[in-house]
Amino acid sequence: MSKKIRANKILVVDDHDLVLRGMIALLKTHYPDAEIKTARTAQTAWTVINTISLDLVILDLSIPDNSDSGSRSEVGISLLKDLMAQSPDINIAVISTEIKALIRVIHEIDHHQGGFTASNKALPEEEVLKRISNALDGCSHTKEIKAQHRGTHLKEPWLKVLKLAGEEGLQDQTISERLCVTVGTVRHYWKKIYDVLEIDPSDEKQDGRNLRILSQIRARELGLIE
Amino acid sequence: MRQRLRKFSIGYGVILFVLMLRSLGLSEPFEFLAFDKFLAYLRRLQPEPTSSRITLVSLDEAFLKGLAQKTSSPLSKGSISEASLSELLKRLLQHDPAVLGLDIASTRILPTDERTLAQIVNQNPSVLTVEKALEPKISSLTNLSTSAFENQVVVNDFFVDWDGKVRRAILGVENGDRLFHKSLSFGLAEIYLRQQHQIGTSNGQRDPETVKIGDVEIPRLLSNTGSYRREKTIYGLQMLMNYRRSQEAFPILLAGDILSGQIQPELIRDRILIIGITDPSLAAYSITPVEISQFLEVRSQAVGIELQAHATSQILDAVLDGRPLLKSSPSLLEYVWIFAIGLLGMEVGRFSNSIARNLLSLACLLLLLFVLSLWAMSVWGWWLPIAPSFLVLSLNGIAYIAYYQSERTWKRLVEERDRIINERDRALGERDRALVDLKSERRTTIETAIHAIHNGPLQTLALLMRRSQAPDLDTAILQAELKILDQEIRSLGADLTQAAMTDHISLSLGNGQMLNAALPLHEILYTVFDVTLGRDFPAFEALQVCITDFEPYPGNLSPELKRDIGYFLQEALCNVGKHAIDVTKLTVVGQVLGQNYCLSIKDNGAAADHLLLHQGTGTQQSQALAAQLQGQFSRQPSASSQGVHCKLLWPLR
Repeated sequence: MSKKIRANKILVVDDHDLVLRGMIALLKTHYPDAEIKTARTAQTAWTVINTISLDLVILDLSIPDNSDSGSRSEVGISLLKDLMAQSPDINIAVISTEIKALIRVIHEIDHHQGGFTASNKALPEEEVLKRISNALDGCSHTKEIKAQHRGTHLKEPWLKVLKLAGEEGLQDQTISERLCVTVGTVRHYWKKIYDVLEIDPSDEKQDGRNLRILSQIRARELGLIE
Repeated sequence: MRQRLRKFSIGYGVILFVLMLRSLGLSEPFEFLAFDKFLAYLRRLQPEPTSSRITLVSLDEAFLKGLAQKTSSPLSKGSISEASLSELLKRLLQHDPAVLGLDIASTRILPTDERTLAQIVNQNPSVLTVEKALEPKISSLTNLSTSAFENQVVVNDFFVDWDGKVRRAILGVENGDRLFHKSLSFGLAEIYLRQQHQIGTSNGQRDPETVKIGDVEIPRLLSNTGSYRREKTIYGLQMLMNYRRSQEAFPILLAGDILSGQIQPELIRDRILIIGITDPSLAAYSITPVEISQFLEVRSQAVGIELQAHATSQILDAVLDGRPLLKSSPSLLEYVWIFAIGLLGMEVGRFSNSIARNLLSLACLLLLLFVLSLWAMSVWGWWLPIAPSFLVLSLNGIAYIAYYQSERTWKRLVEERDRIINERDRALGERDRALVDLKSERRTTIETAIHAIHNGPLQTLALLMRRSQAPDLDTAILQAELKILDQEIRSLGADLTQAAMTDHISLSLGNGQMLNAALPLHEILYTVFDVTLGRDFPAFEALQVCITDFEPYPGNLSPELKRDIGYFLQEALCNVGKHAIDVTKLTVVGQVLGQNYCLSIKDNGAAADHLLLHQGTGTQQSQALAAQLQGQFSRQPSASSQGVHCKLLWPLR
């Protein structure tokens, strides 16, 4: 992780002090200038969210609603849902042992405009940091939420974007006109396409690859386009 | 109306009963009692001074004894010599009395040859003597002149009521000769008023049968006056006695004093003098309702001249001073009065809800009635039907206080009963509802179990059966699959127990997890899809592209329906996994199409044709669900390519 993106304001939500402290230490090392807020419950998280304009929220799903109640993943998912509905552009990194529970809100995650990455707490530190960084970059990484199915799982419009670009060679502007959506939406679709095709934009860019061409190659390999 | 009649029948009954008692004269004792009491009250409340118009001349015991000793000849006991009486009258007449009434029966007078008494009477028209007109009759003095016999002989009788008391005085009676004989009291008053005040007598105007003196018509006692129902002696002209209300009603002169020259002329001049025997051992006396006697030890008795004096006095006072004469109202008015008081009594029970307060009200009403009756008697001389009105008011008052009280108690009891019945009904209703709930819960549990078995172990079992038909049977894989089946069946038990224990409706995901069916539909669908596709179905081995998109459902669905839709998706995916061959593309989409929500599962695998015709449990359930949603269910070959298209479409609500 040589390249460091400066983040201004980060909120870390986790009910375990140790995890919280470890995470803060990790973030401090990699984002020395960042202003880091913490919250142990959903209520305190909301107070921070409603007072400060945040760049990134790092969220554990199993948190208590308030200081009196116990930790439940329901609370975290509910917080996440409301947060995505309230701030569609905010970057979110979910780090939890129960990321499979996010399948319930996969619809909202798929439509979220900001960055969204989900990582299992058991992942190595390096990988977690990478996901946080990706989230800050506005990238999407949701592969682990779904069960390990065969084939590529995607939405109809994403497939159309791939086809229009790969089979007809169209640019985003034209694609957006064809699909009757905004260019921004097409870019959002691309982001999700990279996610399903397991293309890490930051890695690939670093290696000097063109993401669109790379996706077409990968899609063809998987039999999505001809 | 009928209820009202029944309700008040007691009250009307009481009124009728009292009116009947009265008309039969059975209430007479009570009415007399009340009358006497009222006279006594008025005597105490409104005392009057000693009369300035009438003086009694008493032939007392001492005088009569002295007279007996002086006379040489043996006298029969109680007789008075004519000479002494004549001497007494002469002495009195010297002092110019207005009228002089000699109330001594002729049988008591021992006549002398000179007939001096008859001479005095004949010479003085203002001297009246008496006869007794009622049985036993006693005739007047003999040797009277025709004029004296016609004008100066008056009747000194009194009628006695059945209880022995004197409550009425005679103004005049028709004797055997069919002539109207005036009474002593009326005669004295008539002469006195004519001489002293030039007030004449005429026939009554309102009642021609009675007499009118000056402007005052004497209220005649009728056979139905007041309570006089039983008396057979209401004839002639009679009036009620309103005894003079004082201890010393009249000044007394003793015959002995007069004869011995000790005379108080002011008690004689221009006054009415009534002379009579007052010796208790000789005088005839009567019982009076009030204590008036000035001569007898028992003051509720009176000698003749006292009764005469009271009767005379009340006529004079009525004419000269306006003192009321006692009278009763017409019979009909009395009945109306009693009826009205009876109705009032029936209303007392409604005054308040408190029995004590009602009794107090009744007491107040009785007191008011008492005061009113007393006042009417005192001011106008009205003798109201006191006893009967008291009787109806008390009887009806108490009866209806009790009646309304019991009605209120009854009402309260009925309300209490209704409340208890309502509560019982509610409890029964709750029990019934609980039973219905229990039944539906049981049904739900069974349905859940069927779903769970159908979409879980049964699918795995079907898979196994297909695998076992393959020629290259790998026992290792088979064993692994059997292990999975074992786990599924075991977890099924746990799932069902958990579902039964939780309050909310949930669905079994088939991997041992339960999902709350209260979640939004698209969340349920995503979860079911994710879990079901993760299961080990051979048809998904070649899967290349899977297009999934469940739009949020823009309406409300019950948890039961959401659960069943979840099971529908589960079953459809299981069918693809079990029956399809070489599926490379799977499209599972839930989206809003116009006014409908469409859930469609489309694959491109080759499927056995008989699948489409198969009407298994799954199909039946799907059709039932479609009916519940008022939508459609279809499963048919895919239109564009090979494969099956399974679709559930229902209107948004």
